[in-house]
Amino acid sequence: MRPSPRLGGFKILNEVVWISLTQPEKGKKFPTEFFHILAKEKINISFLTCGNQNQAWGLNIVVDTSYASNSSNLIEKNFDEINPISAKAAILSIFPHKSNPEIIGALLEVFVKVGVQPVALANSHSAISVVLREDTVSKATAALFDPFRFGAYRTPADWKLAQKGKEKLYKEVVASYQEKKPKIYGLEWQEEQELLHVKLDTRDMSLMGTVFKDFARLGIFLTFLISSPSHNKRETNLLFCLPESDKRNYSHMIRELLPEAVTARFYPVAFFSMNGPHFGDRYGIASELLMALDSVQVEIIGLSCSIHSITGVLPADQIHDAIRAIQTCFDVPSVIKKN
Amino acid sequence: MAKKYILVVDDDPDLVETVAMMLESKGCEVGRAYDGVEGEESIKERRPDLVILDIMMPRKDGYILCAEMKANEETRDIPVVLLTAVGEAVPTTSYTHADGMSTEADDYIAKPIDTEGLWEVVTALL
Repeated sequence: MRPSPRLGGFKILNEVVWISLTQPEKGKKFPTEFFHILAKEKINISFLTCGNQNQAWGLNIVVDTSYASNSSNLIEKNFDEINPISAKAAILSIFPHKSNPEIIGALLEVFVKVGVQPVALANSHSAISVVLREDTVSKATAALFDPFRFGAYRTPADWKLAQKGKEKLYKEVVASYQEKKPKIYGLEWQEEQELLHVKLDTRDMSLMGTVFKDFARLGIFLTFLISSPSHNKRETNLLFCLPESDKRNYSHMIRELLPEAVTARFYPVAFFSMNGPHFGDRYGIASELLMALDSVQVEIIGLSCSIHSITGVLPADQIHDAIRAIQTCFDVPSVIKKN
Repeated sequence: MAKKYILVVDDDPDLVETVAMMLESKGCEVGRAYDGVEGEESIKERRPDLVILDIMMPRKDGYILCAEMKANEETRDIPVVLLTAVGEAVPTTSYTHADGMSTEADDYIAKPIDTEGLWEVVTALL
């Protein structure tokens, strides 16, 4: 029997609220407008996913409980045609995934097994983050020890003990970041990718887990992954990028296991990824990025912010414009093209 | 020359991967730990040639781990580079460079780190 994948650890951000909304007709500028409104009010977004299909947008955001009421009021005041869903939640992140789809595959399978349904998910540079309703967090945490081994914690009880004594030190640190151009650690990008848009009944998440594990068996790397809400509450959308060079293999797998699920494919696309100090704790970062990209007419197809990373997917012929735009509003020490 | 083994300890997994990728691209072997206790256990399991250590971490912060390493004969000589989240210009926090130096860290580097600058610090200490 294969040993369980060994991961570095997992963390949970509690006392947050998840807000989900779909915007069918607003057009290309909607996310920029939306995040700018939140940034003006200094509302930090701890997690976000943003997916576009045929100009309709699906957004998941997570904010601290203290910002929930203000966020809802802003949405109602500025976008009265939208009916958001919201719930008390937590963000569970496991790491590192090393672009190995087996990790997300195993996570989806075990969650289905124990009856936990994430309301949103995304991967960052190193971690997979899932947003869970508050009342499912304990069950989800305990379930992690089935498919995974963690170096620091052998059991859920070990992990619970380790959470005592943590202090919230970040506000002081975050307040110190007042640079005109936020600094990042580096900017990576990769091309020759295909973005697949998969619409799933939430009961089929386990099958999607199997598909991801099959990708891993073939050595396919998963470079971008988000979920995006659907009008139909029993469905969810997954957007993920795979190397175009592996197309024949993964297309065959998806057709076999989920024949009706792929609703759109975008090729060629490129993605970029960047992370910066406490990006997950500071407001305005996503807004800054989207305004810069809008200024050069870059059309984002998918975007995620999780942990302290931002990852975006766009048409491949716009990647160089996007990189230049990012360099105008962030202090970028290095730009690395990944193969 | 044998590959150097560097342990990176930080509770930001994205930063750990960024630093690890840089060190691996320079030919180092890299260990990863995500809090102070895990860092301590990792050092006991395998002695690193150098430790890059964040300060603000759960379970045990970088100051305490650094101080414990320097107080222990077996680990005293392992170079430690502290990653400080705030610069010297913010005197109101308790995590200033002055505090860092008093724990006998071998060097410090302020976040957001410049990975090439970090490599220069690492090579000077190895």
